Amino acid sequence: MNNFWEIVKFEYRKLFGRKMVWLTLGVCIAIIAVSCCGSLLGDFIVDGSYYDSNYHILRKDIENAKALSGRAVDDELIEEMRNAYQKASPSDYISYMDYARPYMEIYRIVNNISGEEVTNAKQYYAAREKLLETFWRRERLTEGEETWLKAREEELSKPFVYEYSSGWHRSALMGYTVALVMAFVTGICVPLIFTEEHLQRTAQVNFCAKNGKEKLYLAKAFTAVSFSTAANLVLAAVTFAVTLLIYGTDGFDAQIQLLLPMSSLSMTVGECAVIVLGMSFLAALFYCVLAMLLAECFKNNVVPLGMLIGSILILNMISIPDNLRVLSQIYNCIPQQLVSFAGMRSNKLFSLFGTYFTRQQIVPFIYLIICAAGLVVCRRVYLSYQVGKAYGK
Amino acid sequence: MELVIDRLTKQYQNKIAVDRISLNLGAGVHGLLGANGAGKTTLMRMACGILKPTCGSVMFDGIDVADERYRDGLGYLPQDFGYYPNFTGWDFLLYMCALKGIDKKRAEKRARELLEIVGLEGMEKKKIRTYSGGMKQRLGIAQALLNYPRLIILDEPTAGLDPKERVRFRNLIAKLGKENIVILSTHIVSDVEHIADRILMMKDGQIIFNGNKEDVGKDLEEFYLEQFGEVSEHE
Repeated sequence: MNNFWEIVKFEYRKLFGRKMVWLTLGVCIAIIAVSCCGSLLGDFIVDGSYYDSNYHILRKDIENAKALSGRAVDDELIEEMRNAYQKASPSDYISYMDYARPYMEIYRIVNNISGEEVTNAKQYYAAREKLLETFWRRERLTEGEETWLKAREEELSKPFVYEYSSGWHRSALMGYTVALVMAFVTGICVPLIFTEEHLQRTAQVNFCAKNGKEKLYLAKAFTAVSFSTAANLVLAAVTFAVTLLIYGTDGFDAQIQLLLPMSSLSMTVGECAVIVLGMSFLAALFYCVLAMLLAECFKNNVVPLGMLIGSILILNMISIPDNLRVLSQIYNCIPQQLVSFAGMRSNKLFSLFGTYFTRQQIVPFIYLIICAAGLVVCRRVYLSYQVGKAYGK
Repeated sequence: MELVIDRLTKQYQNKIAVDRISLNLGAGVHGLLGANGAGKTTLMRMACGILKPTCGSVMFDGIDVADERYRDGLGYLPQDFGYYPNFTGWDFLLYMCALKGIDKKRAEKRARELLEIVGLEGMEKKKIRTYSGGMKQRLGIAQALLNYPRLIILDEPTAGLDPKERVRFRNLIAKLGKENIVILSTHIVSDVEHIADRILMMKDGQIIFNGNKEDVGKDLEEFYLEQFGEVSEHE
């Protein structure tokens, strides 16, 4: 066992001995940090003239939103919002900023459902229910799924209570960026762990050693997985730290329906943010195992990166309509959909032994099984390596 | 102590690199001579377990080459010895010790011993990429001996060594050959002449001579050229 940790130590030393790894991590952390606070930069321009700085506008928006926190989305609040928007003149942006903008959040909540036809709370909740049914039909949900979701709807506390939760909302939105950046990190760094022996021609010496096959593979796999997990942890920590510092930690317990009106789950915005960023760990693990396998199959650093990024770009261009039930459900489980905040509202369930599970509940097990299988296949490829063929003699 | 190679064959698509070689090798230094492309490196790789034979077997004291216990007693220096450029000599030896299953305390002691034996003491904290060719080769020899191997396979071990270092190396190999099996592949006939107890000549994947210096009966280099010259005349 001692030898195992010694070997892991040296694998880390080999990895961090390369400038490329430090550069990649530094750039990726910077990308995440800037992505979190990009909206603070620059000026707010109205009709071609400077109005205020983005930072100051943001602070005002946060203040206005916090003033509305704790208020139910009921007749009173909807009436206040409508009056405020009626006061603002469509041609005068300054009057919008003074009267309407403080109620921007409530306007967004109501408008997401049905726009200006809604004049009171009863109409709002009825419109939401009608839209939910349309949505369920479009998603081709089964009767069992609809029954299950209706039961979840009964559990929701109504009227919804508005809570300012931008910090957690924006953290959840960053899940996609974190996963994409992790694809770069794993695509660049993980193959180095497996291809160095082939590039430096040390495989023939290592494979002759007692621990040079099985134990060395385990040490390399451990290094790759732990490195990816740690890198993801750092990026997630930077995301939470920067976002919550700028937008605040308020609203962890805000109902998710305020941001995802088509969701029927009793989930809070804070919980959603934690789940999305937790899913990014699964995505990172998946990318890590894929990068390992590609590196061992091709004995090359560039191919894994190219294939990882290429597959993400291609899959992003694909759109699978909801009526193709099975395909769309599989598509919702691919890594970049897994970490999409909007993807959390998907109502398609998984049925196992008569019980329904949400995507968030079932996908971790699926990913762990896939990754374990990937590690086993990678091990076989690693152990089947023949020195003579590779070195052309 | 015996290395048994039984009808070992390696066939690639259009070529038979090693053609049904059978050898029984006991303790001593076995010099393997042959031209480029004779199959020496392929034979050595199969004896190390890093290249799978098409057929045949390799056993050391009854242990098959695929067994982890076989590798426990094996030391190998390949012809094209690679290294990790960012590692120091010390790092590299300790890494190899970990791979060979030597615990840290014993590893540090053994690494120091071998650095002295190969003449690299004082250079261990420098990065390997700053070493000369000869220094890298000496480091390669050191890593092959870390685990007190009983089967030592050396492919062109004196390449890059200056004459003084070559003599030092020959003395080391001769000493190791007294109690272990050493297979030494080289183009330098004088290396084999001075230290080999048994001489093996290889051509086109086959052993064409297997004997000792007495069996040669003349200058080894002359004999070597004769063996290859005679075969080509017959062709």
